[in-house]
Amino acid sequence: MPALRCQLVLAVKRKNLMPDLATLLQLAGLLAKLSIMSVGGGTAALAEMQRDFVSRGWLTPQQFLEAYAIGQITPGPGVALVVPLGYATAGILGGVVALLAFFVPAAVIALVAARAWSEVRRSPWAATVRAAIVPVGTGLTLGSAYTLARSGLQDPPSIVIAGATFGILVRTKLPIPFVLAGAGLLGAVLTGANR
Amino acid sequence: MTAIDERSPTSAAETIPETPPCMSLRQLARVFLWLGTISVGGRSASYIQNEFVHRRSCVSIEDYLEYFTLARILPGSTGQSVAVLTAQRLRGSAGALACLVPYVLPGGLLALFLAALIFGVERPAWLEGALHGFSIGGLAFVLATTFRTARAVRLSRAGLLVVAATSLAYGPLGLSLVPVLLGFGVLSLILHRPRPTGAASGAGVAVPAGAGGETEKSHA
Repeated sequence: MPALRCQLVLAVKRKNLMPDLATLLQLAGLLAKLSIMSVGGGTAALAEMQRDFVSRGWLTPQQFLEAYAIGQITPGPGVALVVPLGYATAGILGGVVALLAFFVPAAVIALVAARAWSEVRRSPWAATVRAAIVPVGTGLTLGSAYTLARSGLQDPPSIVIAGATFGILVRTKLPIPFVLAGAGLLGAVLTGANR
Repeated sequence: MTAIDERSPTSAAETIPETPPCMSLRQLARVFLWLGTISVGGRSASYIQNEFVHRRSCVSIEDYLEYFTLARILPGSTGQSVAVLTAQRLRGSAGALACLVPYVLPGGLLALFLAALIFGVERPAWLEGALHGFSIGGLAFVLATTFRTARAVRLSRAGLLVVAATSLAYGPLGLSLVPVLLGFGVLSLILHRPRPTGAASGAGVAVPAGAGGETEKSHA
């Protein structure tokens, strides 16, 4: 644990704690634009995001992949993905600015849309839209699950972990964090066994 | 997925009652703080579904799917938009506002901590394995929730056709979201357009095809 703390302190010291205002403004503007562009999910603008960050010289392609990996293991909605990007660009303040710039515009649009939809969803035409939208949503859910499974389950350890976790989640009522912690433990063990 | 009788004369607008609030604002914020802390695996909306549809039965599966599809049209993270739409349904605009910060904050703080800790640093193999196992566990959770959705949702025959076509196009065929949403959304609207019920209802009331059964399940 002291080694971990030491590593953290060194990592933070490596970053510039007071980045220049111009970089922060550019970062905020870019992520606000990407937030509004990302129709279909937070990762919809991923390719555009990589192009922008790499072409500006803020991150290397490898650093972008590492930031993406951090976003994947972080809980909550996909917005946390931008925090490591902001951190790599402009330190701690960059991470905070990135989160706010990516989160706030889409949140405001969602709030307005939710209010508007709640007012019209009981009208007769909205009932038709509801009847039509549910099968599309079900199809998107099934299609997303297929894509996720195909890209994530490519090696035997991953298939074993996913199979065991899926079986436990469907057949038992164990708390999800415990099941996920078990999956993490199994991952550490299987990695050790493969070495 | 269960096929329902499409000839049901019940009007959807008539059968939707006002849902009484199933929790206070404070409880709602607390639940979203918890969901924001545990929802790993890249599909945070599945955790909202699990909590409000399956565990607490505050939201019907059809309502959730409605919010999920709307969220896919809105910009930004799908999980964030589903959270806002769900909270708006449960506690109005105050609920939508109350859920946002607790939902996003834990992940944001953890991402900042992890970025400072492991960005550009060589990670030991066991830690790499544990992080990978954790992510795969999250993926399995998404699959388990999808399995529950497929078992719970009730659709008309036209609805089942749209599900099959949409999932095939978006999954195995890998078509992008916008054409899939537009194409199958319009197809679904045509298939579910209001039709005169004729002799069945005796009044000739226009009813969205398949809507009756879905709303009966929604608010049973």
